[in-house]
Amino acid sequence: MSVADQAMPGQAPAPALTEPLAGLYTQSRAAEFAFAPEQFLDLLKGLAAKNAAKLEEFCLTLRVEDLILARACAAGNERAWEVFMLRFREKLYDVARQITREDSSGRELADCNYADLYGTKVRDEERVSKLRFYNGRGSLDGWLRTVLAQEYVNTYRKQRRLVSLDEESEEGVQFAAPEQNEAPVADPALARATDDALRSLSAEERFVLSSYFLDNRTLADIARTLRVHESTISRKVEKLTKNLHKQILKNLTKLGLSRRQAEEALSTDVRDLALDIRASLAQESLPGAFSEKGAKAGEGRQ
Amino acid sequence: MDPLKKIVADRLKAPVAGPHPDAEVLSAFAENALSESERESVVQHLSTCADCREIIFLAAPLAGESQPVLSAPRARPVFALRWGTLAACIVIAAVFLVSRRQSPRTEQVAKHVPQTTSSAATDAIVAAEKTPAELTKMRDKLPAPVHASAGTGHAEPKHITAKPEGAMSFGDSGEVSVNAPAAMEAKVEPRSLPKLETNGRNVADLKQMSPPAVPVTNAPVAAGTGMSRGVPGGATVGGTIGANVSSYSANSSDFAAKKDSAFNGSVSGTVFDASGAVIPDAKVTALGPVGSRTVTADSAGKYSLDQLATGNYQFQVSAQGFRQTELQQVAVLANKPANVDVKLAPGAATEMVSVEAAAPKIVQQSQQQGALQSAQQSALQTDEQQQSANQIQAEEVTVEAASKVQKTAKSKDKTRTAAQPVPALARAVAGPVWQWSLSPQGVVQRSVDNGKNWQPVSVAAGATFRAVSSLLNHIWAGGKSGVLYHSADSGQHWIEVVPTTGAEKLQGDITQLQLVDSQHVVLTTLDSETWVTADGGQTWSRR
Repeated sequence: MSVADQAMPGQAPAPALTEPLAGLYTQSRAAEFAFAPEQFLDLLKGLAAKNAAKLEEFCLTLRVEDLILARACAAGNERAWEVFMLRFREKLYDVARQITREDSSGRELADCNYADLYGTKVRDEERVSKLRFYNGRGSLDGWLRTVLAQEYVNTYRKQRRLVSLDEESEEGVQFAAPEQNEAPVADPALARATDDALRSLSAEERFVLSSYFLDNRTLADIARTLRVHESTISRKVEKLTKNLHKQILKNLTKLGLSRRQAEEALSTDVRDLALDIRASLAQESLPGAFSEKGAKAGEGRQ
Repeated sequence: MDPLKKIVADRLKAPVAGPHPDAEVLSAFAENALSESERESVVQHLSTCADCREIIFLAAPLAGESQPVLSAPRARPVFALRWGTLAACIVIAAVFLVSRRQSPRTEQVAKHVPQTTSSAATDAIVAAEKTPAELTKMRDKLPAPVHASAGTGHAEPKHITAKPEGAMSFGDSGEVSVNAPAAMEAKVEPRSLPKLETNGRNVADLKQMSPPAVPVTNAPVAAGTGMSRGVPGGATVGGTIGANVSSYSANSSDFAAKKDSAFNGSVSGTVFDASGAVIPDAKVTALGPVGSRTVTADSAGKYSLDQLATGNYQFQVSAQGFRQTELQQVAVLANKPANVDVKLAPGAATEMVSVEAAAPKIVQQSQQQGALQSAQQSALQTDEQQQSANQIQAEEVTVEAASKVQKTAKSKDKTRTAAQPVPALARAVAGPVWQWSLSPQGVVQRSVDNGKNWQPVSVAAGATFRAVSSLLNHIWAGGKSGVLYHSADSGQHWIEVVPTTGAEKLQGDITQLQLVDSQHVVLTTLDSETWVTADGGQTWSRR
């Protein structure tokens, strides 16, 4: 039985709800979406238990309005879908176009995502909506963006292996010359010294370096993700680079190399490195890592 | 590509740490809505997972589309606060510099305030420490006087801002005088004033004594000799006046004309009895800012006082068989003859009658401005009285009141009662006006008749005095070996004062005494030491 069937429209908050839950119930417009107070309370309790947090404190960090809207949509409440479409329809298309950088691909991505959000699969005679996996920790808008991005990455990885024969002919792949010998492996001493230097960094510093060196992200992108100013990231990258250089040289010296040898290893070995940054971005992950199945697997691990 | 970048990028391709966070966690991370521990684990994963980094960057909203954060914001990184600290330091430094830049102005104003608030003591010290040339420069550089508005910053009247007409000169004793222009030199003799009726007051004294809310004239007030005029008080002996370097200055070239206009006030009237009949031969005494004058009414009861200095006067009218009547605050204005009729009541008792001057256009000025004008009048009167002292004394005719009442009619006394407090100046001159000096033997003496007769005053047995100074009823006498006496009751009782500063006691001969007011006294010794008290002699400081 769905939530809509269980609750009476316009029902007042139950006396069992105390502050701040009663206020959250009103704020979430749960009554408008036929979400009974008991269901509301059970939902919040379940989420708090899942995150091992106190109910009242945890509820205050939730976006209960988005949460109830998503759960009501998942339950098939028509009023909730009206609100959802009014709020997010155009926005989803815009986000999809932003991600794919193409109008048709963006529209296709958004339409596909709509189907998943509504729930095309039926399990145990019940339609499974993707909105059920939204728990209100971030905004529904951000969650939808992330879901679209995950879907786009999954689609990209699936389609990467699908190359048409015409394209291969145009690119000359059919007659491609045999690959050159792989780049010589870096000096084990240098690799060890670099690994040691990177291990001494914090996770955020490694994230900045990975985003900047591996992903070729701009300073503005990194700064927006970490919610700091762009100049801060710029100084941080510069400082990290200097420190890494010093630390690698120091580690090489510890490994028995002289200062001159360490500097030569750090400079000459680079000429032999043929690192493909784009290849590193195409990291092999399990197919469907961000699919519903993967999400469920992750949810089960939590 | 930077070699280091290549190496680091190669080694950063580490295996993915842990499972991929779901969309819920990633979106919460992007919106900074995770707890610190959750965020740390997500960052740890992101540092190794290129796919999740890709998702994060793809899902990031455009600039300006960021979502509000519900959870408590994470503490900002330390390196992000460095700019704030730097900005705060800059602001503090700027405030400090601005305050430093403004402080000299404040000090400059503060330095002017004591100088120009008629502190004769300070003036004397300045004059003693500076050479004549330096003082001349100081005079020329003096800004618009701030004395009258030291506390308020109000603009000064124009008539006191100009330079003195003559150049300053300095005597051996440190006195400062103004060399009057040639047109005045024949009239002004600033050094020979033995019988001046200033009642022991000099310019500085009068500044302090100005009564509050005294109505004074708006007619041009003679600026006197103004700047740097040392006005010796009648009771000041032994060069005790010193230099009164004042910023007041005469501002006009027609100095003589203004000087005359200051003494062209006149009062006339008729003395009646209660029934309206005239009283002949009544004695009318006018006590004014610079002394007293007495005339006798004629047979028709009419009296006339000419060439009075402008200011407020107290009139004492007496006739045989009638009560003596005092008229308070009779305003004498320049070029505005006043008519003051007096009615006397039969009897012998003294009554107090307050009479307002009938002269038009009485302008209420501030107390400080009134003090300024009084000081200027006093300074000018000094010069004037040098010439006309004998004339004034000649007019002080002592007339026996001939009590001829031509018409006797008993009526109720219609005298007006005093409605205002007696001004300090009027009170000051109400009693006997003593002049103080020292005899050649160093004995304090006083005179009540303008120096005609001197009475020795017993201050201390065996003491030899070298300086005496008076202000109202306060008399100070100093002499050899630092002997110093003070009387607060016009010489009836004397108290020995021992100036000390800590363990040091004044032992030099006192050669100069200067009273700024009843509390501020400046004395100078033979060794050129200057001792100052601001509390009537209880504590002293040495300069």
